[in-house]
Amino acid sequence: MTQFKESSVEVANDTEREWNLPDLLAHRQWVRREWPFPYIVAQNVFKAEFYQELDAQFRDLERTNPEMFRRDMKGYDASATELSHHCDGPLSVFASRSWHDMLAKIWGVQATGDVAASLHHHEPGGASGWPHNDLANGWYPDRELKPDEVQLSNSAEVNYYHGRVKPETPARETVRAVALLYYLGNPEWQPGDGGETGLFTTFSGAGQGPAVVVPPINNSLVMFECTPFSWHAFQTNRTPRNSLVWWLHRTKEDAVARWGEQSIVYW
Amino acid sequence: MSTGEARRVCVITGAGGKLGNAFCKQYAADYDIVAVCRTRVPGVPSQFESYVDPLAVDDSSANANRVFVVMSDLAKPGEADRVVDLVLARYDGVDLVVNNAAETAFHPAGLVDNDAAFADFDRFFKVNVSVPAQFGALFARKFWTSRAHENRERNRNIVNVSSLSGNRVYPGGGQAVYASSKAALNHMTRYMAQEFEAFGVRVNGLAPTAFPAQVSSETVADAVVRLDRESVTGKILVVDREPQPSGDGASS
Repeated sequence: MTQFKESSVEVANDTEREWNLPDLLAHRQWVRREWPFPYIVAQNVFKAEFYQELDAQFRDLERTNPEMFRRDMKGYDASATELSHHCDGPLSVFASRSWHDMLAKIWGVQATGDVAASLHHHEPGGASGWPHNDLANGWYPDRELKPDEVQLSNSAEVNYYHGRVKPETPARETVRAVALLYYLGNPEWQPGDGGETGLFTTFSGAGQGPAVVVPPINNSLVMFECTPFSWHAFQTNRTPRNSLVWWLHRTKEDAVARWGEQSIVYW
Repeated sequence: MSTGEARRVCVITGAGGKLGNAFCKQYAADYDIVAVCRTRVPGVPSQFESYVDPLAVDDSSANANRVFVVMSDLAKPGEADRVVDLVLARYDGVDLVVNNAAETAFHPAGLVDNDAAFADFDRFFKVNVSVPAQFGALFARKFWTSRAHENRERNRNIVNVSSLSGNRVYPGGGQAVYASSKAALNHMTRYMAQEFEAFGVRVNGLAPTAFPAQVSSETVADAVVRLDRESVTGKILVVDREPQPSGDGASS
C-alpha cells in the first residue's frame, strides 16, 4: 500500500451520488484492536446485496478493461487503477462525503476532504512488501470544498506525489491520516492462500515477520491511523488478491504538530 | 470495568478456548474477569480489543464489560507467579479461579504403537495437573491464607475444569494420556479442597462430556457459575446433558 498510479484516462465522476450508509452497512460492530498498533477490522461490512454490486463492478472492470490496471508502482508487486476512473457505479460510495466523514470521526481526525484511492490487484506469487507506515504527503488542488464534497486526487492538475503540474493551479500539501483496505472480488480465502495485510510491531523487527496478519476476506476491511508506528506490508499470495486502498488526509500543519516534521515520509 | 465490592473477581485460564470464550461472553457483566490466554483470546471487549460503532463512535455501551487479558503460558517457569502478581496488583482480591487451560489432544494409535503419546506425557501432566495446583497454591500463598474470614464471607473458590474422560474409559479413542491426566486432576482437586479448607477456600472440579458436541459450551460455563455460587467443596460436578425443564443437567 505504497502508491496509487497516475493515469490520463478520463475520469468518470459520480461522487455526488447520495449514499445512505446506515442502509448499506451490514452491522455496526466493528472491532478495534490495540496491538501491534491501533487498527480496526470489520467483516461483512456491507449488506450482501450491496457487496454483490461492488463485486460485480470490480469483476466487470477486470474482465472488460484489464489494461486499466497498470503495473507501475515502484517496489510494489501489484497493478492498480485509480478509483476516480470508476465512480460511475457502486464503488463511488468510497468517494462519498458520508464515507469520508464516517472514517474521520472514527479516528478523530480533522480531515481535509481530500481522498486518494485505487483498486489493487496482486497476481498469485506476488512478493511480500517491506513494512511502511503510510505517513506520507500528498498534494491536491487548493480549493475550498463544499460540505458534501470529496476531492479525489487529479493528476492532470496537481501531481499527488510532487505538487502542481500547471503553474496557474494552486496546490496544497496534505499528509495521509487514515489508511484503509477493503477486500473484494477475491476467490474464497483459505488459510495458506496468503495475501494478508501484515501488521508489525517495529520496522527493525520486520525480519521476524508480522505480529498480526489480516486475511483478505471479501467484504471485509482493515484500517488504521497513519502514524510513525503503523508498520504494515502486503504478504505474499498464492491466489489472486484484490482490494481497494483508500487514504484520508489531514493538513500538513496538523501532521507536523502531531508527529514532527522528521516523521513525514516524502516521495 | 467496575471493581466495586459487589462484583466478584474471576481469573480464568485457557480463556481463548471454547469454554473460556463462552464464559467471558456470558459472564463479563457479572464478574471482573481476568482472561489468561496462551495464544487465542476470547471474542469479547478487553484492553486489547473493543467494539466500534462506525455510525456512533461515542457510544461505548457495547464495551461496558471488558475483560482484562493477560497473555501467558503458565507452564513456563515463573509465569504463574507473574500472572498472580498481575491479578493482585490490579484487583483488591480474587474470588474465583477457574483452571480451564488444558492439553486436550488424543493419541488414536494408543500407547503401544505410538511414541507420540509418551512424547506428550510430561507436557499433559504439567499443564493439566501441576499448573492448576500450582496456580491455586500461589493465590493461596500470596493472598488467601491470611484472609480465612474474608474468604468464607465472599465464598471464594477454585473450579478445576476436568473432563468426563477422567471418570470413564472410552475404548479406542486414544485418550489414555489425556484421560489419566484428568483423573489425576480430579484427585488433586479433592486434596486441594482438604488443604484449602483451613483458610476457607473451596475447591471443586467440573467434568463435562464433550462440548460443544454433547453439551453446549454455554451449559458448561453455567456449571462453573453454579459451583461458584454453591457451598460444596471437594466435589466433581459431572455435566453430561443439557439442563432439563425439571432438572439441571449435572450431577456430582
